[in-house]
Amino acid sequence: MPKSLLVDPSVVRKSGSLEIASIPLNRYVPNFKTELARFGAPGLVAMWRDMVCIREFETMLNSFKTMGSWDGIEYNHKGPAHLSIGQEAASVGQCASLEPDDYIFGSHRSHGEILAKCLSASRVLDEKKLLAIMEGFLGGETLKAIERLKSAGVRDLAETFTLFGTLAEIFARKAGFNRGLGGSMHAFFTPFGSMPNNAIVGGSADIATGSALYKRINRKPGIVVANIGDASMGCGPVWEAMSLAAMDQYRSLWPKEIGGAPPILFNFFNNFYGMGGQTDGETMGYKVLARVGAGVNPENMHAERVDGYNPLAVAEVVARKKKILLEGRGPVLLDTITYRISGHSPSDASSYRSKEEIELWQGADPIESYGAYLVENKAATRPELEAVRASVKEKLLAVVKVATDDTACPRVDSSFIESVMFSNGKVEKFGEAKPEFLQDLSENPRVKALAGKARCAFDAEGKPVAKNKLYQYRDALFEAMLHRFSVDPTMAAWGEENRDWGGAFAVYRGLTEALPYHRLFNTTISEGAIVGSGVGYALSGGRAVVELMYCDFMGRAGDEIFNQASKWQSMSAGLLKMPLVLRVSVGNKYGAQHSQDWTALVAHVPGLKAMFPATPYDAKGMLNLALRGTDPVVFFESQLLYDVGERFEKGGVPEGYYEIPEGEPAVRKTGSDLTIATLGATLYRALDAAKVLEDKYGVSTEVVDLRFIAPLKYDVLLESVRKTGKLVLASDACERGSYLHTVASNVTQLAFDDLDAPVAVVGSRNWITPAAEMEELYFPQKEWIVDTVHERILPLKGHSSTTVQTALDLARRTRSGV
Amino acid sequence: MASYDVIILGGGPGGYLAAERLGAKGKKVLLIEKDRLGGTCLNVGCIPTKTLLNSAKLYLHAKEGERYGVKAEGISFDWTAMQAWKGEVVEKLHNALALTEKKLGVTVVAASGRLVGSGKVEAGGEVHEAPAIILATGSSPVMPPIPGARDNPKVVDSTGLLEIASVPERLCVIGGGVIGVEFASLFSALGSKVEVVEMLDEIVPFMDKDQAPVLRRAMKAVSFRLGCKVERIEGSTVVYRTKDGTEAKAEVDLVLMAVGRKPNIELWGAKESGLDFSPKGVVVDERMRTNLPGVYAVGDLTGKSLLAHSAYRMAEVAVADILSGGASGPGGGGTNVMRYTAVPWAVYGIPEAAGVGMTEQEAAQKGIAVKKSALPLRVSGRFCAENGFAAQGSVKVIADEASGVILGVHVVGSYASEMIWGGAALIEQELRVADVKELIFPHPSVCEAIRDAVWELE
Ligand SMILES: Cc1cc2nc3c(=O)[nH]c(=O)nc-3n(C[C@H](O)[C@H](O)[C@H](O)COP(=O)(O)OP(=O)(O)OC[C@H]3O[C@@H](n4cnc5c(N)ncnc54)[C@H](O)[C@@H]3O)c2cc1C
Ligand SMILES: Cc1ncc(C[n+]2csc(CCOP(=O)(O)OP(=O)(O)O)c2C)c(N)n1
Ligand SMILES: [Mg+2]
Repeated sequence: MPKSLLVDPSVVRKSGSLEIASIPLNRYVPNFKTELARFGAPGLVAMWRDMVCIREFETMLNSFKTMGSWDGIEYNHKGPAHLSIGQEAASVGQCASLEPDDYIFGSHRSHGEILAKCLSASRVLDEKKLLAIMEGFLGGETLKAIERLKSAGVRDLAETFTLFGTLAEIFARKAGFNRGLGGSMHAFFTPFGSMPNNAIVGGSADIATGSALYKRINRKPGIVVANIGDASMGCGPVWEAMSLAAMDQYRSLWPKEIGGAPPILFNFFNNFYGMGGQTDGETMGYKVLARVGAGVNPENMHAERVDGYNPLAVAEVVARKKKILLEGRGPVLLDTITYRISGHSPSDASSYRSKEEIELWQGADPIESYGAYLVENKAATRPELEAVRASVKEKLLAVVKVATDDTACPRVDSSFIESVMFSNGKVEKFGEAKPEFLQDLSENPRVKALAGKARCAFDAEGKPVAKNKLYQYRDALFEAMLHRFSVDPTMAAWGEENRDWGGAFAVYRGLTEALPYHRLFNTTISEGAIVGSGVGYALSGGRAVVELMYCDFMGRAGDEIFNQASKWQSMSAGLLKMPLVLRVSVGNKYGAQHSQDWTALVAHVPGLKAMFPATPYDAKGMLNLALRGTDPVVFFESQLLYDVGERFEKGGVPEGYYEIPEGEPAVRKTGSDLTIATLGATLYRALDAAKVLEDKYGVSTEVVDLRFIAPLKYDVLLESVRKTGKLVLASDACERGSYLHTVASNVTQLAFDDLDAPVAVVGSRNWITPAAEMEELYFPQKEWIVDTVHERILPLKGHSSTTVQTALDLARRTRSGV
Repeated sequence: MASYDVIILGGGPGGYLAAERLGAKGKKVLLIEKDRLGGTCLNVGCIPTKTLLNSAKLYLHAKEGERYGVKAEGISFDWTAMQAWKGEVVEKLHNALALTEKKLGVTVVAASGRLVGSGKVEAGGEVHEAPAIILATGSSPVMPPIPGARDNPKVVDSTGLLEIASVPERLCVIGGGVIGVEFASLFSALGSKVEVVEMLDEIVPFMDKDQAPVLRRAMKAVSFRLGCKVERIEGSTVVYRTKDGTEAKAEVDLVLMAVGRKPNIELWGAKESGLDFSPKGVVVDERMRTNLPGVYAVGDLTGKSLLAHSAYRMAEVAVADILSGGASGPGGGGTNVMRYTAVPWAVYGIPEAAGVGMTEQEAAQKGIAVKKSALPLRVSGRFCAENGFAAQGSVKVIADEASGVILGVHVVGSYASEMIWGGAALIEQELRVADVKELIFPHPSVCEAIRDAVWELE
């Protein structure tokens, strides 16, 4: 897209062959002298200790899951436990080369990584700081639960704290790392750099990429690791994340001082299995996972295979890769081979692998072999190691006793869960730096053009203003964006064709001139990663605005919207914020895959805020609202609206800053006999219908624009219904499952006695959207609303319906699924 | 293209009554009938069957007259003369009907009509328009796919049986429903040897389970084969399987197929117009509205209640909705809707049977606790005087246990069809036992038995 890059036919059409550099496999050569020099004997033993911690921890969970008891303690753990027995060296080795500022994101099988990261961080953090972290965490609640357990100093306490915080989280305790709302597959502890783990296979890839973008864009220290399984290489979002992380522009177009590509390490813990599917030989075709790096960029993503059964091999490669990443030369791919001795989960009967294979890997047990290596090289004696193991066991027993005690360790109540669904914050800016711009905004061409526009749809005589002189809905969105860009230095926006093109619908026109690349950039066509990286960026502490060109493309980002953006605030018990605005545009004219209003999908999923302005005044005021909040917002726009002017606010769209009160619908027109409430662009057709109802049939009609989906305050609507007793709801979403059915049902519950007729929902037909020429058959038209009133609510004297809106036809459509 | 206020498709009871009611209100009505005004009911249903049954009853009474002191000799019947009388009745009533429609200003078109969509009907190559359309195309006999049934000259439906030239010596009636029982009564009275083969365990399946056997036993000359499934028909031999699995045969001269009727939904554009229907009939709401705006359906076509008087009432409900501009139902504050709880039915056999409302079994199925009383019709002096002391007859009344509201009235015996409207009135008005006790019934009358049965309820 940028004009500075030339696509030259004489170059791209040239004949030749592509050389792909070789990819190193298990090249580590042990050298005890170097290893000792790097870690020191205590450091080397500490790694062994951490591995033992993980082994004992997972063995304990396995015992609870399979036998209901461990070491004489009985406990029923109802939830999941994907154990990493056998994989300890891989996680410990990795964390040995990471610092607290480095982040690791993980998977369903990340207990080991949480422990390894926290234990390694607690070994390097300053003791005072370490104590402060523990004391401050959850108001000291986690620490308090273990204060009676004995400890030999702050670092030892931190070990107990880590074991307990993780276990209490797995057991869904209030003192757990995420107050028990994350659980086994999501637990994490950010102060030590352990970031969210993800129960969605591959889910961490794009989130971690966003976190790396956050570090890069905001010049934060450290790298980010996405720890995902070998089987996740089959996941689209993983490829999307790698593509997004490998974009040329970081090094070719972004300001040099930003430092290059986001520092993201895609680390695949390659245990050769999905659940039962064997990746090498059965479910994938790569043979060697590291090969995939060659498909992404000329550097092969610096891919390597490393022996994850040797912690020192892993530590060495991670240290080298970290350097590459900090130099802005990422992304990096690691194929860290390992093996899980335990089943995928406690219900796994290992029917897909041979006993012989398991025994071979047991024979190479990383704890045994690394222990032997330490003894052999005299870093520790056998008895010393046995003493370490014994002390780990003793500590674990004490921790388990607390974590299994329902009295000492209660769970949160429902009001707490409710309280963390949204953070409801108001944050002007997430950083203190001066927001970066390429120009003085007074010189911006769009800003200048807008100064001459009519901010109201009608002139002084009430005549409509010509489109080319009109301040439009898209301009209102632009102003809101520009305002927040100018206040919050962390705010960045990305998506497809956002830069240069100016956004597919010209909302961002003018921003290219105003903003440096790292604040506004084009991405790969990777909707999942666009949203996922936004999630990672936001939960890392920055404000992100990501855009999906069409609402229909939400399907491509389904997991990122429905499982990630929506869940992380609450799964973190409110520890994370999600200042992420996802702009989606509801289309038309382009047929079935470009014309859908999916507000209902978003409304259905807890944890998302959603809004849909229908006027320029609201477009600006609602985007302002979204952009100062701390919650994930799906911001619906409509392509039918981008060029409309302000028709309702007398003074037009204000030049200054304002916000629309959250959740409050707007009355667009008053009336006393009937209420029509709309969501989105249908507002204007409803107003036309209201005119017919009034002029032709004398039905005084009130029109309410809901404009919010979640949260939505019902007061305005109920007040209207109390007056009119009749309600039609209309939007361009398909009728079946439309969000308006939820509104209808709530109004029926809340105002049953005030209703004189059933609430009717007018939506698009439950079909594909036909061609532009046939859209009247599909989208609600003025006549549909009038006929619905006549057939289902209030017979209109002398009216003959021209469209089929009878209750019986509704029944028929329902019955036949259309 | 002509335009009307209402277009009606089908000139049976549903269609013609709607036309009359609308005509009386000065509406411009087009009534389209492809065959004969009067529909099934007048031409090949209610009227001709009742006419023939009356002849048969006269014949029986003449034969039995001696017991009551009236002696006649050389008693015989003349099928051809009976048929001629039937024809005369139908013809005269038909003419009267045509005249009524004419007087009321209804335009009757003899053509096959086709629904084009809301507001449009095509007939005789012309498209007619009206804001309201009533569909009343009725129903037709079902000819089930029993091997040997179709295209067998020895197998007739009710319409065919009404036209036969002579009374068969042996008749097999397949189906012990209302039509089957009426024809069985008719022909056994005229001396045919009649066998009724019914798949279920009892005749007239919707009757109260205490009442149906009374009716069956009263039809002494008819042989009933209950729980028997016809497997095939060979010429005029009906082969069926009995309950215990053995094969049996009815060797007869003529077979009446009377297993039910199906709505006439084909051939007039139901599908093309987007109308909602299933094989059971056109889907309607309580105001007889279909899914298409301004399009109503009434009568047998709806499959809701295949009775002429149901068709009448449905027609009136549709008409009320049309005349009120959609305000006759609850939405418009009205109450003029179709209710099925008080639709009476009657079997005009020998003897008669009739009922209205719930049977004891229905109530039990719905979990409604009831009180009931059943009395033989001998409690009525008039019944004894006219039928003798050994005659079969019974009345049964059920009422809601808690409220005492009358839920069902069931009668087997003479005049049942004439008195049952009274039962319908009790139920429609939701009268309680105590209310009914205050009503005065004429004495002597057979219907007094209802009063007596109510008094038995405490
Ligand atoms: C043997 C027999 C005995 C019966 N006895 C009784 C009884 O005693 N009491 C009782 O209540 N009921 C009785 N019935 C049932 C009763 O006849 C029906 O319930 C009643 O006729 C239904 O009326 P309708 O108007 O719905 O339909 P129908 O009477 O069937 O009339 C429908 C009319 O529509 C016409 N038509 C169909 N399609 C078109 C078209 N496309 N264009 C124009 N015209 C069309 C048909 O020709 C027909 O005339 C009996 C039925 C039968 C068969
Ligand atoms: C999107 C998604 N699909 C499927 C699953 C079910 N599942 C959980 S773990 C797993 C296997 C994952 O294998 P891998 O990524 O190699 O990780 P490992 O379990 O080997 O650590 C599957 C299929 C899931 N959680 N998420
Ligand atoms: Mg795996």
